[in-house]
Amino acid sequence: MKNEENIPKSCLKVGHYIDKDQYNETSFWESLHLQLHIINCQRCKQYNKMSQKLTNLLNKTKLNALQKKEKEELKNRLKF
Amino acid sequence: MTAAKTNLRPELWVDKYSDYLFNYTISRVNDRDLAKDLVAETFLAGLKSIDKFKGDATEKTWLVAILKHKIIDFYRKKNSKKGKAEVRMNYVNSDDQQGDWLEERVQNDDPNADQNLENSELGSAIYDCIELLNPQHAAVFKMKNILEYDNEVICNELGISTSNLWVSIHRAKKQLADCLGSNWF
Repeated sequence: MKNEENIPKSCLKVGHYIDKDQYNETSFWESLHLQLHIINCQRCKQYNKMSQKLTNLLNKTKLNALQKKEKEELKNRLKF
Repeated sequence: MTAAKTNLRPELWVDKYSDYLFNYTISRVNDRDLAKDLVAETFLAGLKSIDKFKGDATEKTWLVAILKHKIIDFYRKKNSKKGKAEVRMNYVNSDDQQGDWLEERVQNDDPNADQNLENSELGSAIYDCIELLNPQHAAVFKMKNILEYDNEVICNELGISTSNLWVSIHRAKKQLADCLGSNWF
């Protein structure tokens, strides 16, 4: 991934952990690393906050989508 | 073929708009199969009316307008059956029973209507923003957050690595947050 904004490697790593954390997919050490890092890093603290807000919005709206199979069935009905 | 007609790409409708239309519908009818039927009917009506498309609205706006009519028609038919039953009923207007008879007959089984409407608008806003994403990022985001597929399934489905998956999630989230802006955040 190109580091267009010249973000420090540590922040790139923590950004990744923040993403995983929203799905409860971080390991214990990743989670610990994240919590310690955001104590002093405003950029990552902001990203963590934004991520949480986005997760809350998504949980609130309960979006729906079609499965791949359902889309195929729809295409068949339209004869595409 | 007129310029307006050439702007319509029916062969792409399912891939481009079916999730948006489905999400819009299901929040209003609460029945998955019914929602799918209404979306299919919308696309079919669109195909039949291609000649009538003037190009004043976008393809998506035009399809949503057709869908709205389909939903209204559905409720009209549903309520017309109720309406006929009401005509046969006798409303006893005594001093003990004050109030508007029609309001009392309308079943209020959705006390959260206002919140549901706001959530539905937010859902549409999120979908509008997802549409602006790179197609791979959008696909990963939908599979992870809406369809809730496992990472392995997503990677197999799209032919990407786990690392690509997380890059897509990261990019998608940042763009969505920018797109949704202060209105929703």
